[in-house]
Amino acid sequence: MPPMTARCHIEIDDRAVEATRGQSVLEALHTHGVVVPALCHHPGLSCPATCRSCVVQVEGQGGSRMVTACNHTVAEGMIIRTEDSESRSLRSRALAEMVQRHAMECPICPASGECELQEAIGGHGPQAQAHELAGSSERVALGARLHFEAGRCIQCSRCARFEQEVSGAGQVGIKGRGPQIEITTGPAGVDHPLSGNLVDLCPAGALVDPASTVAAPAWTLRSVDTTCGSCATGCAVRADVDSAGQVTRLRPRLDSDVNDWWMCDEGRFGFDQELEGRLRLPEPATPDEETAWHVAVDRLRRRMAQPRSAVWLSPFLTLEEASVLIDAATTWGARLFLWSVEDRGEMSFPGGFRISGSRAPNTTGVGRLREAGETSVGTTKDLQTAIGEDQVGQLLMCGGGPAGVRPRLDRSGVSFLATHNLVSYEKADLVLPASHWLEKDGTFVNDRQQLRRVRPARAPMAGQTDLELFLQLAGREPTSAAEIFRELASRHEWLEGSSHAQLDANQRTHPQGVAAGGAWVDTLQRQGLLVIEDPAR
Amino acid sequence: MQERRWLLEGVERPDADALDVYRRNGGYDGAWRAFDEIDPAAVIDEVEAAGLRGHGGAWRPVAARWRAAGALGGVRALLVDVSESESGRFRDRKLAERLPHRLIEGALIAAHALTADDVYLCVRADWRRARSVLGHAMDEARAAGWIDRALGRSGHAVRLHLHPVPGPLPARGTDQLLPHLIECSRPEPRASNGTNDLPTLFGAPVLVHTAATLAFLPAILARGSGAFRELGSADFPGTVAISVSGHIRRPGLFEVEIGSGSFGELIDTLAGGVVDETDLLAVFPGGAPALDGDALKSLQIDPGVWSQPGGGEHEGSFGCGTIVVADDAVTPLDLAARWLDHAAQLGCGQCPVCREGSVWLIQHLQRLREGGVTAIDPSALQERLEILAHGEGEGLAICGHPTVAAHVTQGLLQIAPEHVDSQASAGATPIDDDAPLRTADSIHLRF
Repeated sequence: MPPMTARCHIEIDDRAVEATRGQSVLEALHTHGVVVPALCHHPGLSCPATCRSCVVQVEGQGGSRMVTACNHTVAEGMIIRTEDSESRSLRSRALAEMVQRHAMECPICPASGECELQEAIGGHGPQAQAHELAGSSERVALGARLHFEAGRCIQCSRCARFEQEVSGAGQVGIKGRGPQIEITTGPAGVDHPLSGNLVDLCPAGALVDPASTVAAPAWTLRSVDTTCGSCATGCAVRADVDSAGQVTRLRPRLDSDVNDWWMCDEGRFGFDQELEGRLRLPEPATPDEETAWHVAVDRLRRRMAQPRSAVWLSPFLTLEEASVLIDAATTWGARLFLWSVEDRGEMSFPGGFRISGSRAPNTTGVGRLREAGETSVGTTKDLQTAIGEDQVGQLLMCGGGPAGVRPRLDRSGVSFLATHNLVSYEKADLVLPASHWLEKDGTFVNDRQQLRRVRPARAPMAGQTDLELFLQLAGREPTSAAEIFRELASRHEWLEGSSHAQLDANQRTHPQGVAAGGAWVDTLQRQGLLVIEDPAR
Repeated sequence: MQERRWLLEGVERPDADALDVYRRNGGYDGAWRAFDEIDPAAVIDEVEAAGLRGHGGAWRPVAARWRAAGALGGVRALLVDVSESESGRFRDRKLAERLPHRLIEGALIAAHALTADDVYLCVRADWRRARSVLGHAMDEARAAGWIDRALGRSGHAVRLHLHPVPGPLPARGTDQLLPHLIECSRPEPRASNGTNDLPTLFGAPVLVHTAATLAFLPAILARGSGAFRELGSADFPGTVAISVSGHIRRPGLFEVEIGSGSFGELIDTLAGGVVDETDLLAVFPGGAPALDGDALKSLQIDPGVWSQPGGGEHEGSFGCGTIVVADDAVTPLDLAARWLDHAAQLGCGQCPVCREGSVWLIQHLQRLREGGVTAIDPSALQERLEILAHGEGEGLAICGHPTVAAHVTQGLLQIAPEHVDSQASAGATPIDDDAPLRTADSIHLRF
């Protein structure tokens, strides 16, 4: 196809620009940095064009018309005006109608600061409006992590469409007609595995996570883009960290190759039990006492250098960690095995989203290192056989998964056992604390062979990361994960051309612009109405 | 003023709904001609020559719609709207109850012209009589070989489906609504995306026609387009059936030649005048601003003199000519409040301007009625009504429903501005809400 057909020339607010044919007017506006509110529209859902808040003036072959930007496509020679007084006043009118019965409780609303409605009103709403305070409504619990505030609902129908088109659960719907139209659920509430996305979708703070009402306000959070390590899907996520350095929540980040706009509840809500759990190991320990890192490392290196040693690799390790550990094992002359986590069966949803059957994020990656390596790596079964035949005297068992995913291994006959875990749940001669995936820097390979970048959202609880530990075990100088990845890329053909920098550059931002502390907070800051102390500074 | 019956021809006969009575009086001759003697293209030519327009309210030329649908690749099915939800309109319901075979024959002819194999008769589920009569008529027509079987030389078999739909529906946008209802989804019109795409039913393009429009086809085919064309005006040929109800001596359905007289003549002669010799206060036609009695009396029964659809001088929409008559014992403000409440309930609830705007207006009309310290400035009310009225045109609403709601209310408020002003000033007597409102509570039909 010649490029001429794919592009067309349009004009936005007296600026000549190029747009992609077939693109909606709204997409074209967003591409060129022009913001109009679009409250019922979500790029991941169908487009009913009912909120009418994206009305712009369009001049085309049929003369000048006021159209909704979300459901009209661009055409060659189209002239779009968003700043003229007529379309401004119409958008303002649509928004004014929408907040007519919206409970104005921004000061106590957890969505405040990253609320699409708030941003829309701030940028496009009426300058002043006589607002008769709508009474705050009763909060209804739809699920353990999903509450509904009917008074804030603006009937955009995003949640109902999500339930039809993406989750397929159909647990949220619309009932009634005219002014009585309302969002409703069945008697069972909402309990499907994607329910957390409803909170992200809601543009008005009507669907909220009850935990967020007591968390720090959005504009005090710092965001880190990373990859969810809860299963082998490898959803692109954004971790929001509060001023105390705690990860307060995870939200999905657009990645159309992997997870689109969504993530599952297990990934979203499951992390903090492991990350901030009371049972997490603070430092290395023997059965009798806690020891210092350097003592533990020395002891482990000494023991593992003896004959009949074995290292059990974990699929919760990053590529970089696994490769350094393989190097260490090679220098010790230890045999290598890989823990294969039991497959629980893939779950897929009508919108294309899927939850991988493997609960370990990097089975594929560590497996590929094993295939490419010079040393042979056995399976769990091989290890069990080796133990049974009394060929394993010293074993380093890497875990690092959540408490629910534990290795099953009969270790009678192993004289020295070192474990590497988030929590201590078994007797061992040496227990080493592992890092959570939210503390790791590196890469995973998901079950679709896609490289996923993991970046640390917080400092490691145990004082040092897995990578630092493994470098010490291998007797290497401290170095960065990026450097180790470079080495890997030069050794492995399938990683050729990749680098951390390149993967970071490919990280996409959220199209809705709801980074912690949204555009509205930026506006307030610019106007000097809001001053935020940066905790990092 | 006299009645001229095309649509309602033979309605007075005993057992007018029976196939043999209908057949004896020339019924199904038009369909036979269409299926046996001429081809679909000739049917479209005949309808074009007759100048038939859609009687649902938009008055679009029927043949032009058929040709446009053909140019877009044709349609797979024809949907017949027998679900009129406009206040005071009972034309299509009466047609279905009294002359079901005319409706079936018209649908057959249209389906043949469109070369569509399926016709869905979408009848309001709450019209039990219309449903049972139509069902029975379909059984008769099926047994006689008119439907579901290859007909005439063309060999075209048209399947008829009777589909109950929930009602009442929003006043506009039924083109989009009816397919939704057959698919059993919510009664919501879909937003236009600027293209001329046909509505779809389960993904297949379809065309939606009002029942009355199709019921003209048998006579046009049987008697020829010339006879139809002779009636009415050049732009709006033929007759129109007007539903008249309210405070009127002989409420009913009157079919008159388009342009043959004024609404005043219709009310005074055919409908027998206002009840109890009282004065005429207001009339509200579907879609148009309500009018005071004097303004309406002189207005011609002709879509051409209205700004919608004829581009005429009179501001407003002729709709399908429905009128509800109120005598001067009615308080316009009360009527406006109740009308708006009714209109709001009929809305689908998608667009904020309609959903929230009508809530605001109902609340404030109520305050205006109650008067006293909570009274509000009537100009604020007018401003909101303007916004509601222009919703669709300015892109703030998907369909014309808010326009209809606003126009009628605006007209009612304009009828007695001094009353509105006196209510707005403090000290007005609160109105007893329990007192019965004298509006069209029971409609007696002549059939």
